[in-house]
Amino acid sequence: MQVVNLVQRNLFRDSIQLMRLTEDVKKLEGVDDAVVSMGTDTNRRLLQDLGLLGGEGRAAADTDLMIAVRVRDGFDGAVVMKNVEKLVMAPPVSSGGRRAVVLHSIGSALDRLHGANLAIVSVPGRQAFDPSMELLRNGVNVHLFSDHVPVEQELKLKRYASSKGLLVMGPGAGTSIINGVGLGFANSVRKGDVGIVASAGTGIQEVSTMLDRIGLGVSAALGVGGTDVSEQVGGLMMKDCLDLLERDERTRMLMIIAKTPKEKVIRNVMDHVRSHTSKPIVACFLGLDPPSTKEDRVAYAMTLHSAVRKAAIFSGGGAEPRFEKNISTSFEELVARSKEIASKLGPSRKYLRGLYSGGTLAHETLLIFRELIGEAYSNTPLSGAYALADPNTSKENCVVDLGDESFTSGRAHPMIDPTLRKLRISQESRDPDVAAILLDVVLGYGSSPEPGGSLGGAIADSTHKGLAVLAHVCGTETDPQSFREQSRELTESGTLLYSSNALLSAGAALVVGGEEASERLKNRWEYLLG
Amino acid sequence: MAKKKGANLLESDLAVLNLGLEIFRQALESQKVSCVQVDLSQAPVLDKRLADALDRLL
Repeated sequence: MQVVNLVQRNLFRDSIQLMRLTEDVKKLEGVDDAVVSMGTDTNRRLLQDLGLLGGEGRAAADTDLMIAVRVRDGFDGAVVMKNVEKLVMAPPVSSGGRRAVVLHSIGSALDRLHGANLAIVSVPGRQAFDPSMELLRNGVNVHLFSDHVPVEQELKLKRYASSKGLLVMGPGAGTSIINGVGLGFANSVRKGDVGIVASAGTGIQEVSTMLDRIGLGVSAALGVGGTDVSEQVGGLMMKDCLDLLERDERTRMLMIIAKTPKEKVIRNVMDHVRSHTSKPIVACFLGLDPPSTKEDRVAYAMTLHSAVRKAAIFSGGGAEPRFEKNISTSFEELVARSKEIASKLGPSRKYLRGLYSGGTLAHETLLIFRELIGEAYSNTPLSGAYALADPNTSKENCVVDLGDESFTSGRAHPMIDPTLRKLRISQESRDPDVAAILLDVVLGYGSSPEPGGSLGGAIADSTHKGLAVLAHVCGTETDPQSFREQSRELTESGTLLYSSNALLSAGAALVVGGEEASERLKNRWEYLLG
Repeated sequence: MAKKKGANLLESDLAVLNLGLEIFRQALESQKVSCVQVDLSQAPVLDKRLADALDRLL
């Protein structure tokens, strides 16, 4: 079959448009396989792996649109490509059920939508400051999904917002829940009295879905973006959000989650909450040890799993038994399950490969591995010595965050588009040293409509090769994809499921770590999972 | 007065402007939230008066 590449110089389409164009091109007559993408290194590598890279594609730049097609035998390549080009070059249209009205200025949008109180901004980060500031000047709160907003601009936006009693959630805020409405990548969770402030997007998803499963709900979950807890920004918006939730009558408990925060910033945030709030607090600062002194209304958790357990204890009313029944497991059960998995593996299989879509979950797994089997390699490592030289090639025990910039430049996030993860599962399954692949399957608004089904083929191929695939589904039954349905599809493909990412990580560590890891977990059970 | 606005966000129905990825507008509409899509990347935005005039026609 003939492979043809076309390159359109300096033509931009966003990652979602590219994913949908790819799907549409694949449906054209005479097309065997196709990818429409921007000309980034990651995408050229993807084309190479799929056998779709030709001479023109090799020369494409980041700012060019690449169209790569494998033409079926018996079809005229020129005719097929003419149809492909016509489809790809048509003006982008809404892919919703109906054509949306698209306005071209914030002023006219504010005229159209009276009482607008929130904007979601997901334009390229370098272009996000001006419209965000215009929105704030018009009294509109901003959920800033965009990454790569310079920190000086973040600070200006947050200082201005703070002075006006407005919120800037982000930049890089993947998830928020306000008034029961999910913003960005968020799950459908019940309303309740737990108010969450987090600089960790999938951290919000993990705790809010686990709270849902034990009958607790969320009054609001406010994502402030990872750099809010940097020394430059100093937790400015985290403190404003906590003040807001303190005043909110529906919120009876505060939960604070941060990934890789600066210790000095967290000390400052905690000093603030001690003096400005009165509600019980569960604090989970992934990677920071809790203070040695006990505090009456503050419970510190080392994992998201543990944070939900502590929230259940604070909440009372049967939440703790429900946590034990619906989420937790005993040390003995976890050890027994891991031994059973290990018993089915060949003797050469000794390494774990985490292929994550959620950055916070990947980080949590790295922390748990460090406690139980030693530090793992990663593209987002805990320490520089364990940085992967090439994020596309794993080494020993390894956790890859496929949602990291090195993979998402010019293509959709792995929660939306499973293509890269499917290829990586196949790649890892060819390595005879791999004992188990770990996956997070994140459901919710904005995510792939069928993550379980789309990964199923690659998972089944892997399990047939003799390695284990272990996963955690982060979601609820009322999510668009249905927790039960996705769990069923994954199980049918041979995946072994765990009820939290922390249990998945600990269980996997026991598979390769044997007695030594079991002994460590026994000693650290309360610290990690209690 | 200024501080009241943030509180209102938690208490009021959301009315959202979506600048960027349409997938988020679709997610909001599936949750029955009032939402308007704004695209600042297209050519008319270079001339604000032209953009406003175009939007009045839509």
